[in-house]
Amino acid sequence: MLAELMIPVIIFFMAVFFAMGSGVMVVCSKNPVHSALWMVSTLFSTAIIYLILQFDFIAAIQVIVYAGAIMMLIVYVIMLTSVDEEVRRKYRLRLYQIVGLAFIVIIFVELVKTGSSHLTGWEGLDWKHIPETFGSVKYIAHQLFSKYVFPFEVVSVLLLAAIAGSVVLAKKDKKD
Amino acid sequence: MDFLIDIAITVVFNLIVFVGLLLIVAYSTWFERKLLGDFQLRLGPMRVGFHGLMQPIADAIKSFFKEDVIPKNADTVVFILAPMLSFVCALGVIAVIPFGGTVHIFGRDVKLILADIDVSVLYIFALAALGSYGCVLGGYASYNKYSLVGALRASALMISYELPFALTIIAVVLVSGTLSFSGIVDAQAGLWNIVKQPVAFILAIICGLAEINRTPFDMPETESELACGFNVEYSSMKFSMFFMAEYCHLFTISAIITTLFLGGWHGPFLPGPIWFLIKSIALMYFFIWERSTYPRLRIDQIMRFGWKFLLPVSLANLVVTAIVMTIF
Amino acid sequence: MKKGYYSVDDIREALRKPGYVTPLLKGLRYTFKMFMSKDVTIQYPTERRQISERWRGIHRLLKENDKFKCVGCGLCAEVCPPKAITIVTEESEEGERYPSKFQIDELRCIFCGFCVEVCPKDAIEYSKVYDFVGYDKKEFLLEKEDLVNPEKYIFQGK
Repeated sequence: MLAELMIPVIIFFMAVFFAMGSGVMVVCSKNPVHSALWMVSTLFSTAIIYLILQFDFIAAIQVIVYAGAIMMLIVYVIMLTSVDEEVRRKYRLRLYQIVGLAFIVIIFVELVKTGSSHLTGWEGLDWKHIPETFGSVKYIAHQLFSKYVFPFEVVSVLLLAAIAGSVVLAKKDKKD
Repeated sequence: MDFLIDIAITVVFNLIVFVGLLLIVAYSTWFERKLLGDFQLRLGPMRVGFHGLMQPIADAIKSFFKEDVIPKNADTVVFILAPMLSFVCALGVIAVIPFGGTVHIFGRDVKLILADIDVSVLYIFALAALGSYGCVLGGYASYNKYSLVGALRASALMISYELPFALTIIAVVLVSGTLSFSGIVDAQAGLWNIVKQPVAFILAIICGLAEINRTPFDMPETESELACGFNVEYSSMKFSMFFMAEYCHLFTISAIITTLFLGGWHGPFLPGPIWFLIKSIALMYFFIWERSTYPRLRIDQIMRFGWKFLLPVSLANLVVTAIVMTIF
Repeated sequence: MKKGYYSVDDIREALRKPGYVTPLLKGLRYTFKMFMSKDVTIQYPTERRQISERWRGIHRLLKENDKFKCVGCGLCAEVCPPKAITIVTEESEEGERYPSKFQIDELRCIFCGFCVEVCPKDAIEYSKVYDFVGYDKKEFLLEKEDLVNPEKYIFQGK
């Protein structure tokens, strides 16, 4: 059926445009809370793209961890600062913004060049070697705890270090 | 032609579930008012229709025609977006909950579940995470100190109780061996999870109460301290959307706990959906009963209880479950 | 009393003390008992409580043979502590005295019952009407015609 084939494609492009548009709005919104919300919508659109690629697990985790936990903390912090000042501030083009823009353009051009020369797109993928269960919870868990167990543990140690560091920073100095 | 019938069945099925859910949401307000009345030796709504049966409809019509006030300094877009987000995320949970087995219509097997996905458990957590934005943004956008404090409490509560809730449900997932709700229900065909995981059941009820912001954990609202908390500036339909989201949560959390612990739609004699409704409504009854009994906790007590009691207990439950599962 | 171990008595003692869970369950049991017991509220305008035979509602002026029993002696107006009763007495052609004006200000009345007690002709009594409402203070000034049938002031609901 044509319709059955077309629907994922349409949803894919909608999600892509929504993700990109939200990404632009993250940078362009004056109100920091709005920026954070556009960020949430970017993450959500990315989750939809994962869903189309059959990565249910990754999509759900993306929403729970990034949209749910991390962005919630960011919104939490922004809400407590005074948003009004940021909104009222007049816009002026500064030198560092011009430099940043130049760098972004350079990086983007390089990315496109690398992408078009080294990746061959859909044809380059070896479809036959993708297992049926690819993207399912069991497959990811199996890969994570067998093949990639060392990086996984290293990352958890890294996170532990970050937590310990934040606790040390937050702790009051007893000597005073 | 087959394709069209498929689509028609899907659309009709979705409509039935959606309208049914909205009816349940509307009548759960009636149910709660009636039961709270009974618990307080009152009658509850009696005037509109037989024993107040038309009360939810009267309330809906009333709130439609109320004046819609948006505060002058409010963040208008976010202010309007927040109740929608809250309500949609509350409704979305029903999609993954199985409320019956398979029925035959037009020569097809139709599963009585809207979306039988692999990661239902994660899906409900994702929706809960997005839904909590409703409270937080509503509180922030109102430009009111009570709302802001309510919103902060809402986010604090949700972040701290999502963790023990997730750990509790992971124990159930371990026992059932799948993340999908229909798989979990099928695994309970013989023995309900409440027997295998009694501690997890109690923990899930406690964390569920906190997740849906109900007494004794109704921190975001706290009428007596925050004058209704995050929704204090809301009126008319926007308020009733928050209100409906709340009652929708009440039903969905009952449905989730039914699915996870009480064997979902399994039961003798009666058809699946009826068993599912009976169990869910029994849980809703418990939630209302509990509301009429307990006073609200203080925010620091809630935080202490969540981090120092629920989290260790749910972790211990998970570890014990894992050890037992490995040995046997 | 540190022994390093728990005896059976210790455990029994710990169980007897109110912990965290028992009071919670007790509370649930109590509210359930309330749920099972009969509701105490009633549907007010359509359903009414039984009130005492000696209830002091708003006043009723009694009639005999289509005439007021009241002879306009003015004792009730005299004895009334808040001075709620206004009486103007006149004499008819047959020489009978009657009140041409008998007005009770129900807002001033303290329902002490002196007027009923003092009346030599038993011409005034209390009715059982207790839900007498109005939008204006003037509505509470009842003339003698109003006082004949105070039951008309019973609140009927909408």
